[in-house]
Amino acid sequence: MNPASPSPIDRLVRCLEFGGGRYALYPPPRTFADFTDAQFTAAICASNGDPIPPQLALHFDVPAAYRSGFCGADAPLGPRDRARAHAYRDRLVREVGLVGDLFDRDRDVVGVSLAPGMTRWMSPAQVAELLESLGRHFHVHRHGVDLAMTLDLDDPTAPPLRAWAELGFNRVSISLSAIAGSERPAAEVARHVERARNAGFANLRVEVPYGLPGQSAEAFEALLAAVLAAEPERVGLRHCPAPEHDEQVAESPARLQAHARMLIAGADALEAAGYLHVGVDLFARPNDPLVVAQRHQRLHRDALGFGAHGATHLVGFGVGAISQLGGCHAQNPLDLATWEARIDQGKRAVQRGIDLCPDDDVRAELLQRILCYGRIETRQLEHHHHIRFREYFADDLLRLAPLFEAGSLRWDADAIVLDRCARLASRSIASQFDPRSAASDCPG
Amino acid sequence: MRPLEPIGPGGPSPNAASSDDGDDYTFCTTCAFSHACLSEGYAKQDLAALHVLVEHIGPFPPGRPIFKKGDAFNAIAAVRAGTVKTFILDDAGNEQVLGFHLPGEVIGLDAIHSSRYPCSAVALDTVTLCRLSFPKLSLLAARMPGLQQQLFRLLSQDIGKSNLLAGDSSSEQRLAAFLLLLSARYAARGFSPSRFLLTMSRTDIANHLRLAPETVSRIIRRFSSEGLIDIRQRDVQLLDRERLAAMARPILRD
Repeated sequence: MNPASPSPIDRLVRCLEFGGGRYALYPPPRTFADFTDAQFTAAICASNGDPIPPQLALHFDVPAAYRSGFCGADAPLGPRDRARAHAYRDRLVREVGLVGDLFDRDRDVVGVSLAPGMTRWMSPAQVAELLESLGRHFHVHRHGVDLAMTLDLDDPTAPPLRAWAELGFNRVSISLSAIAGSERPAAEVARHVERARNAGFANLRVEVPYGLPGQSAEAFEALLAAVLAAEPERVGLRHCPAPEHDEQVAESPARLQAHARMLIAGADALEAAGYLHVGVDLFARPNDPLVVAQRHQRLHRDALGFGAHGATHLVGFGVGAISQLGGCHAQNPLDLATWEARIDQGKRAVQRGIDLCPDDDVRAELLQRILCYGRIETRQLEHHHHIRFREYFADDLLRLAPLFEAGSLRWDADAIVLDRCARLASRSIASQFDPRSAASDCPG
Repeated sequence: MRPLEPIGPGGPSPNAASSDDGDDYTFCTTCAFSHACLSEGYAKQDLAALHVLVEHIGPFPPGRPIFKKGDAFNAIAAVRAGTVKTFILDDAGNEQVLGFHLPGEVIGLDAIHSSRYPCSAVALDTVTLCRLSFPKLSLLAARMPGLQQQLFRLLSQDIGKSNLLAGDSSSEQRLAAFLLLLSARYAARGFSPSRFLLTMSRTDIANHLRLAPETVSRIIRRFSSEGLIDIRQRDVQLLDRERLAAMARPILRD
């Protein structure tokens, strides 16, 4: 590398300057318009008719008030909330029945995930009944179904972890936001990870927050070192911008510098400890199912994150839940009363969404390549979609020209390759291929 | 010819493409009837006489019936764009898929002898048709021997097509034959023989080949993993035509 080339931190700053730090889905939810049940069922019917219909990943969302963040403590729950959980669960069970029977019986479910905070709000018995209802309306894959939940650390009344492990949860995220400010993070992290291991959870993912207000670089590095000592299977670096931060507006130069510095330091520490960067904010051990899937070109990213089962379709249940059905994206109402009313009338709840046009298909595939592999196979895209890459993406490439100059992006025969910095900021890069706006906000 | 050249997402695919509209003396490029006229060197007034019988109809949206079994037969239709499925319902009300009609192919010929359609037809995607009034066509054919021959040729092809999938063959053999036949039919109309869209659902393919939908998926997955084909959603590419042909030989013979 020539001496004039910018430092990794400067290169990362240039990528992050593009914004789009939470970019997750193309086309993004803010492009959704009114969407009918007929459109929703037609999309499912069409995917049933594919020569090889995609397998399914299901997820359950909860009202925003009960969703845990990864960047701060959550409000305590009372008895009234428990009663609400019961009613909400019952409606989810009914929604499963209304939607599940639309899918052909051989469309195996390979993943089920619960929104962060759902297992804090609901009891293991309540969730057990929900999982049982899945078996009545879907064909749940017999081996290797990924059952994902998030553990919250701050609730002293929480049921024993073993109750959750016995339900079969095998992809467990631990949010550290509650102890990020701890004086002795090492002891705290070790205690929580050991508790989860003793309960029988095999694949642990620890979410390490950085960029919290008042969090020094030293405190972040100490927290990360504590996590590495506990040897979880996966580590997520979760950027926590100031609460007042507007996604559409770039961060201040000083904050960007701090952001980039912590991200690089975090990646350095993780890689030195033997973790590989899967993509976006996630690191995992070399034998992790996600890393193996990446090696075999079967890694997939949807609105929820990475999956190891190839191009699955996503089916969402509950308030505001997003479905990705190949030909369309669809979303349930964000308003609890509207969602409840639809389910109570015995109707599916889908309210907003978008039918994907051929241009959306091109860009959605491009987003997959960037987020999952850190490279854009241009020849492959041309072949799949009958386009000439350089002409088709001329405007996008022009916007990204500074990153080519800085060396963060480079042409390699029939591909554009993202360097390490660009991969750490791959959502920012991806957001630049959205012609509707340079930076977009998606629920992450 | 329509080479598969990069012009934009989604196109040009053989199924979405339609023939150009032609003019008084030039038929649509994929027209099932143009062959009879072009090869026989008819006078311009003959072409014009035939051409006025052609009526462009549609578009029919996906799922829209084109005719129903028992409807009075008074016209032959040729597909200009899209795919048409023909089927009958058995005594129990179960659908039996007879065939799929691609751009340039004729539907309704098997109704000629009975004056009523013996089957139903439905649009699988957005379909446009050329419609030829059959009584008028018969009159004209009496004056134009080449046209009559072409009609007979089309008729015998249609019969031959439905026989190809009968018999005591394995599911792999049937599916390989099905893909190769589609390829040959697209090629005959100037479309890519090696890459095309499966516009019919796997349930329709399965029904047509008398297989279970799961079996169709399982075999296609195996063809794909063995490098015989490449498949992305409905987009199929034939990679190893020789092995497919070897597999399909008991059905396709020559």
